[in-house]
Amino acid sequence: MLTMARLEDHRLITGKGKFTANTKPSKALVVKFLRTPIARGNILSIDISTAKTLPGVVCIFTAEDMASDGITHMLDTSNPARDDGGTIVKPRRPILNSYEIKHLGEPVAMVIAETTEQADDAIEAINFNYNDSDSAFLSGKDIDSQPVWPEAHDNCASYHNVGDFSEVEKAEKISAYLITVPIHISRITAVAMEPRIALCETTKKGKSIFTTSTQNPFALRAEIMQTFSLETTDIQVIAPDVGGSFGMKGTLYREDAAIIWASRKLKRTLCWSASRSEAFISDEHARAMHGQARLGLDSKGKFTSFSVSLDIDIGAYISKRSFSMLNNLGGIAGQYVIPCLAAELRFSYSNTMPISPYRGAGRPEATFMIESAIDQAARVIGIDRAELRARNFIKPNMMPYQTSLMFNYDSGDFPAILEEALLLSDYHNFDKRRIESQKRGRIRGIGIATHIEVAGGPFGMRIKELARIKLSKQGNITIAPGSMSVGQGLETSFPAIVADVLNINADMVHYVQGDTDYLPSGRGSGGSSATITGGSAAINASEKLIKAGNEIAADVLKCDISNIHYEKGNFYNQNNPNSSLDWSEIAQYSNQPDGIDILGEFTPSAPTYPNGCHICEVEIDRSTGKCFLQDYVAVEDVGTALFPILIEGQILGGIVQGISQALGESLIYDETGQLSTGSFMDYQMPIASDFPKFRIKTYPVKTKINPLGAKGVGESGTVGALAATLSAIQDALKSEGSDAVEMPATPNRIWKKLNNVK
Amino acid sequence: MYSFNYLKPGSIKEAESLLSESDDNKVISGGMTLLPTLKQRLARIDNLIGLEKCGLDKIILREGLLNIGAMVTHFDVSNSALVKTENPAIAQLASHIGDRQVRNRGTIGGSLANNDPSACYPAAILAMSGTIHTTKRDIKAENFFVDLFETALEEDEIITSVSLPKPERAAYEKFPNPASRYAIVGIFVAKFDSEVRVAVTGAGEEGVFRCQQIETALSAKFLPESLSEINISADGLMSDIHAEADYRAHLIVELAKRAVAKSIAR
Ligand SMILES: Cc1cc2nc3c(=O)[nH]c(=O)nc-3n(C[C@H](O)[C@H](O)[C@H](O)COP(=O)(O)OP(=O)(O)OC[C@H]3O[C@@H](n4cnc5c(N)ncnc54)[C@H](O)[C@@H]3O)c2cc1C
Repeated sequence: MLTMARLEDHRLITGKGKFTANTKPSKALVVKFLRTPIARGNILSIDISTAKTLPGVVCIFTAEDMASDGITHMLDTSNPARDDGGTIVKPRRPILNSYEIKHLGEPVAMVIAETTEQADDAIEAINFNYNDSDSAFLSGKDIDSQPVWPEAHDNCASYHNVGDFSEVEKAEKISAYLITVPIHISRITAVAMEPRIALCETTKKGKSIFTTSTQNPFALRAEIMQTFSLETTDIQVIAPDVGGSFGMKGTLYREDAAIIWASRKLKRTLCWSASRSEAFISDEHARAMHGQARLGLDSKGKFTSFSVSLDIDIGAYISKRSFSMLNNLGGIAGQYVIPCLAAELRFSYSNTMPISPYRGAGRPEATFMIESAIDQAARVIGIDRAELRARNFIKPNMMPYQTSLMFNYDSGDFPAILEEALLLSDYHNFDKRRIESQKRGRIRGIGIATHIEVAGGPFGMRIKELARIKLSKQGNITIAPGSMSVGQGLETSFPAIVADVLNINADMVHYVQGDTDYLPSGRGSGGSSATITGGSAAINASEKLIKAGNEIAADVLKCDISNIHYEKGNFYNQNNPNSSLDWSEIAQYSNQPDGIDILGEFTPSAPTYPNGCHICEVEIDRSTGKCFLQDYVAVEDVGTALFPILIEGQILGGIVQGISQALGESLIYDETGQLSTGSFMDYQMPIASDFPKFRIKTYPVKTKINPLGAKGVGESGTVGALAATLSAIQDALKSEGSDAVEMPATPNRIWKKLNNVK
Repeated sequence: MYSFNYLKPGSIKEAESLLSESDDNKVISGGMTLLPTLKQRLARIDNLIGLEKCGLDKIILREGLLNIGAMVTHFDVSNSALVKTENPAIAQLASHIGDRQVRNRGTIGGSLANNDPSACYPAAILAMSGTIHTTKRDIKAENFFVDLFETALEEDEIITSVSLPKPERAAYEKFPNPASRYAIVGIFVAKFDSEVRVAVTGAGEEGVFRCQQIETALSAKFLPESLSEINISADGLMSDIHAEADYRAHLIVELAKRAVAKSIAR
């Protein structure tokens, strides 16, 4: 049904988007932050006396000023645990730092000035004195040297044993094969096209309107209310168009808190927008883990156990966002029957920017772990990689299937999807292509990854989603979901979902998002949940609207409500088809002064499990180590495939982010804790010409968890792509007898492996 | 960015005198390097002197030499019919600099004056033994590139054009940095009647340099195979997060082979 182009695209690509910066009033003052130029040390003094007197400078605040208002730290949202009996230390994150420097780029002072140049002048004029410690503590260092927080002498923030290791050990003892693979997943960052921005206006009466580029204004409002002890009436959060978020823009940042506090204090409108350099050092980072994975198999190649042991580099501070891996760990079960599963997770501090969820938030990592272990097993045993997977699949007739770790899959047809992907990629003729590549001095590799991930969760939690529908007195219908688009295209899909229920044209339904004055709560964007939970709430709201319409129609047409028939925007009395009411008449007759206003809701009984199979083909230039993508096939079960164009966009964008991490994206700190990849000169972002044509196909197996039958699509591309791309590269290397290469597989690293250079 | 005045003198003489007025005056060509520096407040300038109106944007043939004005953009070099016939290798080099936006703004004069150790033009000018013409003198390429971001130019000296002899065969091969797309290693091979000259950019700790080992091998026989036994030492080569010195050393030979093959096929 719904194959239209994205409604928002024309506006967005012709410069008519309305991002936070476009809403900035001319009276807004400029905010800039002085940041720590080092990763570790002690602050001695912050002298603002000269800076304060410079022209155009309105105010300069430090931690001291905020402390006098009783505001010092970010909200403590962390919930660390220590299954190993170790001491739990919860270091708190100051909003502005005045004491110990824990990572590069911490905000120290906030300058408020009339113009950007004046603010920059003032930043330069601040006399900032600090002691530089010799070196930063980075992941992989010997903890005896200098832990990040002396109280946490083992440098461990949280430690978890999940699943049953004793069962795993038992199974390993009787396994015919035990395969161990190293896991190294690089630290990356979201690189949103629109960097973070915060605009805060506070009225004379003390209401703050905080406009910002966020993926969840509702959660943000809650955090702000708690941080500053405010009521709902004191704070409104608005997210206009948002240029990318990916999990990174899902929280209140230190800069946000400082600006809200200052705006409330001064009753002025303040605006800070991050430069790209600031974004690299102050946007939360992601992934960053290493360890190993172990897969047991019996003599027939059936999996007997799988376990992982991971050290996750969470950066200098903790929050609940540090531990997203825990919610999505169940992904290590993959699409397979594995009798026992276990994981050991150690979250460690380092003198770096804290981590948080990034597209997939543990799902791509989990998939990478199981899939790379299976690849290695296939090589050791000498079985085809697709065949080994097929042998171990959970079959459709086993659904619903409870894995041995967390997840309960409701539906899916993994064998059929693998078959489809093999067919599309012409997997069985790969050897011919390999020989053809060899003739050109290229080494060809093919990679397979199957993926399955939790969506609309988090797992184990049932979160209600809301959607408000309004019928104005003029007969206009507006849908305002608690979900929001940060680029996904909900402006296209939500009106269509509503229009489908109301049986009217989608262009009759307006869309608004991202305003906390519209709804009491909302999920925002995250966990691939918008369509499955938000869309379902919109359906519920639409159905309620029809019901309300029926009641009014029965009243006006003076008949029993059971005789009212609704069709294509009109309410009829079945016994008298000549009399009918349309939506504008219903609105007129409603006894509410502003028309009809309805809150729809949906609480999923369980999460859903999008899944699929990716096959990637690469060629490696033997003499330079450069990797060229040749082909990429993704077959995806996203449940009901509602909006093909949006699905393709989501999967394609997701795949590109996965490939990009596999091939080159990586944040690198040097030994002093300076960021070596602090700009696009060194942080590798891919461009369109780096990629082949993707072949994306959906293979819908509907879920019963929500009325749409949809499973979610926001993350699946990335979840499969990280594993599939590396699988292809390793396959090429193995064909030459080389070891596996560590992520990111840069030309230099691949060349070294091929030439056995240490 | 600090504030500055933006001047657009109508002649090179005027530009020269404006430049010599103060150490804090600077010329701007495409601005592709200078503007980011200014935006980050890494430089403070009183007067920025634009060279658009100084007539430095011509490409001509003069006494058998290809003469490219300092203000000619990378796009114009890559697209000029004259360059394509006289010196196709440099047209091709220009077509792979940065991205479209950079090629539309960036200039040959700006690139040479900047002498970025990873820039492409320095390899071509050095390998072809070009001459850099300035407001004060003519400087041979050998004497022009001094060190990283350092040239023989004086504070108040402006590049006006570059002259290049016509090689019998020439080609440029570049292994782009996957992030910045500058050269991790770039090799310009030029064969003249009397000699073979090979210059390497992107790799040297002191910037662009000529590679005698490769030149000697190619002078004996101008074929890719002549280089199969060559091993370049990693000493004096850059090591960074994108490429270690030994990898760069390897790439130099590999890219030289490809450049030779390309120049022969042309
Ligand atoms: C994203 C990106 C990618 C790039 N990739 C490449 C690449 O792959 N290969 C490559 O070679 N280059 C690359 N560049 C550099 C680009 O080619 C520009 O040529 C270079 O930045 C300088 O040229 P410009 O005309 O912009 O000089 P400007 O930025 O205007 O000036 C640079 C410096 O030279 C001085 N100067 C300018 N003109 C003159 C003159 N006529 N006489 C004396 N001094 C002068 C200025 O005062 C300034 O100090 C890249 C740049 C960017 C931003």
